[in-house]
Amino acid sequence: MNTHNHHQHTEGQPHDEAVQVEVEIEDQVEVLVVPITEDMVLVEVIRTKLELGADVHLFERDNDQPLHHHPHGRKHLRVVGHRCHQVTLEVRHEHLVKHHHFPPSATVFRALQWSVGKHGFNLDPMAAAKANLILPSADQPLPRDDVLGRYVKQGHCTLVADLTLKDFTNG
Amino acid sequence: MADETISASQRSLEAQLNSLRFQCGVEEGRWAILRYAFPILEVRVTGHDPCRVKEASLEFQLLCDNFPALGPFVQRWDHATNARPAAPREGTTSPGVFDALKDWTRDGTNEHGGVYRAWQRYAALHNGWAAKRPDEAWRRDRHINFIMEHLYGLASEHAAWLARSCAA
Repeated sequence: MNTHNHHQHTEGQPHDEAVQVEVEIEDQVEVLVVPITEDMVLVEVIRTKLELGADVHLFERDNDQPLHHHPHGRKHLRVVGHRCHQVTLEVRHEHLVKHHHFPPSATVFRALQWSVGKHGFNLDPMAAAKANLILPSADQPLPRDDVLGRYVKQGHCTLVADLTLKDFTNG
Repeated sequence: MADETISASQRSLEAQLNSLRFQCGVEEGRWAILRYAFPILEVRVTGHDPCRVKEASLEFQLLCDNFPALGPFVQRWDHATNARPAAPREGTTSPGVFDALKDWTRDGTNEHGGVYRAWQRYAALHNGWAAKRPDEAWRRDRHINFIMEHLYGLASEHAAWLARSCAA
C-alpha cells in the first residue's frame, strides 16, 4: 500500500481538515490524504495524484454511483477505480446461468446476496446459508469483502463465477 | 505518557480502530463503537438487504486480548443490559444467522463458544474449521475490519431474511 501525503500522516492519527482516501485499482491500493477546501474537487485530485486517465471510472466502494463529489462530512473514503463502468456477473448454478450488472466496486458479498435472492436463483434460506461464489476451478470461495472488479480479467468486463452450496463449514 | 504504558496489543488494536478502513465503516453507518475498554470492544453493526429496503442491527462484544496474534473472541451482546442475549429462536432469523448465533460450548468447557464462524477465536478450533476455511480464518496479518465485515455480513443476512419475511 502506497501513501501520498499532502501532510504528514500516519495510521491512527486522523487529520482534522483532510479526507483520507484509499483508492483500489485492480490489485493496487493507494492512500491519499487530501486537504478539504471549498474548491476541492476530490475526483480531480485523485485523478491528478494517481495520474489516472479518463478511462478509469471511480466509485465509492460498495456504492452503485460513480464518485463525483466529496460526500458531505466524510473524512474517510474507500474508492475503487476500474476501467469497466460496470461488470457483468455471470453466475452458474445447476446448469442455469444468470447475469446481473454490478459496478466494479460492488462486493462479492453483495453479489452473493443477489445470487441467492429472488432476482437470482431464489434459493431457500437453508440453501442460501451455505452458498458461496467461487471462480471456476478455484478451491476456495471468493472472499466476501473483496470487490468484483479485482477479479475481472484484463480486457474484459465480465466475470464468471459458480454459485456453490458445498459445505465448507460446520465440520 | 499513557502510550508508554499500554501494551503492544492495545496499540495495534487502537491503530486499526483509528484506521481509514475502520473509520470508513463508522462514517458509512455500518458499525459504531458502543464501548471500548481494552481488551473489550462493544459494537453495533447495521446491515441491509440487497435492495436496501430493510436494515437490521446486531450488537457484539469482542475480546481482543493478545491482538493480533490471537483473533478476537466474539459473542453477541446486549449493550443495554450488559449481558449476552439468548440465542435467536428458529424461524426468527435466517438459518445462517441462527447457526452463527446458536448456543454452543467451547471444547471441553461449559463456557459459551461465541459466534460460530471460522473467523471467531473458539469456533476456529472447533472441528478443524479454520483448516477447512483458511479464507475465513483469522491470521495475525488480518485487520480488525476482517471481523467487522463478517459481522456486517451477519447483520445484512438478518436484514435480508426480515425483508423476505415481510414480502412473503
